Amino acid sequence: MSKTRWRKILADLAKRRARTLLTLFGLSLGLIFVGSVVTALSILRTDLDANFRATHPPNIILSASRIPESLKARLAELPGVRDMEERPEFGALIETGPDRWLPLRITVVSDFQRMRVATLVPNSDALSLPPRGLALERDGRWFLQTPPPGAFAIRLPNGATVDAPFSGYVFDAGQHPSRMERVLYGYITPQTLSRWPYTPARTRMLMITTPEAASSVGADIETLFKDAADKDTGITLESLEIHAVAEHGHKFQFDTLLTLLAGLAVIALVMCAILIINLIDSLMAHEQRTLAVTRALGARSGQIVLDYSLGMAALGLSAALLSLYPSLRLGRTIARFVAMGVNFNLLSPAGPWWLIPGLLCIGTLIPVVVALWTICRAAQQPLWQGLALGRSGRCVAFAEGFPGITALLPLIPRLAVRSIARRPRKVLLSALILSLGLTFFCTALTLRASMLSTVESVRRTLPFDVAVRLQSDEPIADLAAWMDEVPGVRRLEWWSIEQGTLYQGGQRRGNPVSVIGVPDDTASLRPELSLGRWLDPNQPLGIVVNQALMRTVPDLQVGMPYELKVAGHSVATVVVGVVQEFTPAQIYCSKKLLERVGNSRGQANTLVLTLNDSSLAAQDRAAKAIQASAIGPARQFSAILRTRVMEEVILGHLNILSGLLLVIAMISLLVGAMGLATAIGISVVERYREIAVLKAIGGRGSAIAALFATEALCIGLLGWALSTEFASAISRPIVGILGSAVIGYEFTYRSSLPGLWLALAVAMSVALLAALAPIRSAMSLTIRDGLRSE
Amino acid sequence: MQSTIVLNQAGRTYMQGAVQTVALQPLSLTLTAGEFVAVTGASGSGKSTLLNLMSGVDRPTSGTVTVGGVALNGLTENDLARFRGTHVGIVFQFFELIQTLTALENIVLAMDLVAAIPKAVRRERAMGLLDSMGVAGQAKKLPSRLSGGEQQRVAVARALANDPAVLLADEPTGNLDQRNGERVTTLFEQCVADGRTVIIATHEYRDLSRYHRVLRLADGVLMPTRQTVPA
Repeated sequence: MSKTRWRKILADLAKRRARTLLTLFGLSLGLIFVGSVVTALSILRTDLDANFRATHPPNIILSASRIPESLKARLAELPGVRDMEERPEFGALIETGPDRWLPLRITVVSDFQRMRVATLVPNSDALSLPPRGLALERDGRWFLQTPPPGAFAIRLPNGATVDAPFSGYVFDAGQHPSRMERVLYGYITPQTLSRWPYTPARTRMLMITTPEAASSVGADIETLFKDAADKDTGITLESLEIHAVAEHGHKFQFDTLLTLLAGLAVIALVMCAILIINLIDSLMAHEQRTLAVTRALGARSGQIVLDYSLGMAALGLSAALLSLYPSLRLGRTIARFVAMGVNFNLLSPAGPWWLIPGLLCIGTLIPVVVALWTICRAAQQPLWQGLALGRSGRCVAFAEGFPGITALLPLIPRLAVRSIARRPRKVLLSALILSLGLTFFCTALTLRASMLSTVESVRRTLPFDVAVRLQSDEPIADLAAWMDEVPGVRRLEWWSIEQGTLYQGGQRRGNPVSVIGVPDDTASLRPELSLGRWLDPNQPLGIVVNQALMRTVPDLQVGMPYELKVAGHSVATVVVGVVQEFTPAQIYCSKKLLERVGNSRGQANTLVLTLNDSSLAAQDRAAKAIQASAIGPARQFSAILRTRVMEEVILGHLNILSGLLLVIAMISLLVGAMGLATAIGISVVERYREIAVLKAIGGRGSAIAALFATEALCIGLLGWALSTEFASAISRPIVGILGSAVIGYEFTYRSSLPGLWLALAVAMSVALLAALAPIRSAMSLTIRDGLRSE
Repeated sequence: MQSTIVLNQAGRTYMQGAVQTVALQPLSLTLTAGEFVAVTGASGSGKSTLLNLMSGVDRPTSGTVTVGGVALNGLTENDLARFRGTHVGIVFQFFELIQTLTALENIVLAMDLVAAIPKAVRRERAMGLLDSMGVAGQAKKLPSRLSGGEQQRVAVARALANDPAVLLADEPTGNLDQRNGERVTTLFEQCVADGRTVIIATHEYRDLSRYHRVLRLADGVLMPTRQTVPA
């Protein structure tokens, strides 16, 4: 291409400097939005998994009463076993504030310096635990005062309280984030444990095997422990969890986050394209006469398409270069925010190698692709038509229908509405940009409302207040006497909970899960069935599974017989229904069935209390009274669950999603607002002459401001109207998909009516804010400059 | 005779980067009520600059401009806008009608912006002005539906909307054919007959005899001119 043609392209862009700069700004803005989401996605895609893999996570976890050295040696020799480490674990309570106790899962680590499986990373340079020290997982710091105290009071499962000096924070990427679970994770040495008046009832072995060998190693482990049990050694295999490849407990959530981000990247791309169409359209509309003149001088259509495409590419590349740094920074910030939310570190904040060239390519190509259609159309239109395009502009037929309709409006609003009607495509595109931001905003609010509604449904399905899980079965008569000491109890039920595994045809179906034995006449459970029916006293062998188990064992079927193995005993059962609930995989059966399998008639290990007052304070009081009265008889708790706290835990899991969506909504709103500001800014630049004439015939600054403010408000209103349609169309599937991905069933859909009005207020405010700078520029325009503009 | 426009050593210089361009050398000039004045000169001679100074569209870099007894130098932008609306009517070469408003609305807009004419009579007055310009039949049409001559007559009607004492027109017939140009010039003569001061910038040297005074500009300098007694 000749130098002259290049000079013309650049001169065309330079000639209308204000418009070119605004276009460049708008392009950069759209590219920053796409770039930041792509950057965040590319970092998180690798880092979420890399964090977890860096801990050398075990894919087999076995829990047993004890594991003697000889058995350890035989486990280590099993073919396919790469490494293993013993890590006993037990539950306790930690005092995080005056008389404020939170659950604490304590893991015993034999040597902090030589961890090979499920490794921890010290937050400080070196972690050397003193013999009685306690390290805490760093996500727990959200529940602790700053700085943390020198020592924590720990209440052990047997009710004894010990003081544990605080050694520091560690990072355990394999754990579920404390903020979501409302559980703290503590780490001690065997020396510390030996000084405490408590010995865990069971131990855990964490093993890493090759993926192919996982199931055969699992079978071998079962055989080894069966042999040991047969020899009456008192060694029992409590549970055995097998995965071909280790998976983080919140993998579903992470996958959902990544899917959400990927979807957002697509929408950001669409938003960016609309913004660019709007800008390029405007730029090209003013080039049509020049383009026609060029053709009159002998330029061929192909030359024109090439010249203008190169011009657009130059513009796009400039915008891409301008947006590169902010995109990377903002993308890293989003990635950091997500990583902080799920308690991970950013390992590769720079992102993959293709990120920068990829962003530059996207930035350069989008304007070319978007402009190509307009350029081709203009290059092929009849020459006389192009040359006839005067600067007085055309008044489209659509606008001509407006004089009658708008005649009732005062003149300035009438002028504003007709100016909008004169450029319907441009206004629609501007409103579309704003509406996409608003759509995210409305969807985030709907998602939030739906999540809250889902949490309310949890309250409906679990109409009790406190559940106390003991470490061992006790006679119901003793437990009833104990509960007499707890004030405010309205209803009391005895349940049994054990670990069990399903088998079919001798084949294991999934990992061990909680098997909950409920009384036939339970009033503390109103399950929401998604398939089949609830337990029937007339069919005592029926079991009900939840959707989380269905997800992990996809071939599980209602109506099919399965063998349920609990504590080494098997019983033939039939799956009669599936419930949907916000819990890990579990099975419900009649308590009588569990008593028969476990030979524990007249005993229970779980108390389910309904109180006169269901407030959190009342549940706390009951929990404390239960703990206090358990010290004398040295009862050992596995957990004390308060349903109000459980709701908070559920919200903790959901907040990260709705939080991310809200952050994204804010970013897209910001992009929408700035896109709108750019569009109005260009509109001001294009109408310099009109503004100058208005001023020349006596229009004051306030009239000019009112004109553009009215236009902006009309666009805001149109954007809002579009967003209500879009939001109602996309929020239902999004709520459904996110629900299915995170909790295994769809969230209860609730549209947010206050959110709708809030969105309107936001739309109008954003539109007005977006119009501020263009209005200022219009007001400061001198008549002379305005009249001189083309 | 009452002085309507007084320029006292008023000049205008523009800075283009570091280069200073003198658009209008300081000049002193007094125009009286009812005068019909032509400002002539080649392109770039300073005609538009002179009109801009008289209308308050631009401010002099030296000297003062007084119109109808009001010193324009001291006015704020808003005061200047109001002043223009009430005292000065402007007609542009390219008509500059608001494309989205009908002919009638274009005139009402000028009155609405200034609010000098009572609201109740604005529409009627606008129709009267269009009638006097011979374009009443086009009142409800958008400018894009009018011919050039019709548009310029609507523009003159708009300039007269607030009954200004001064009418300034920058090349008002430059974009019209001879017949329409003549019709528009006749309208200006009627304005003069009504007692208004009408100043027209033109580079046409035909029929200069119909003006009371002809000001000739060359390279921003006011040249000696002839003056006739107003009819």
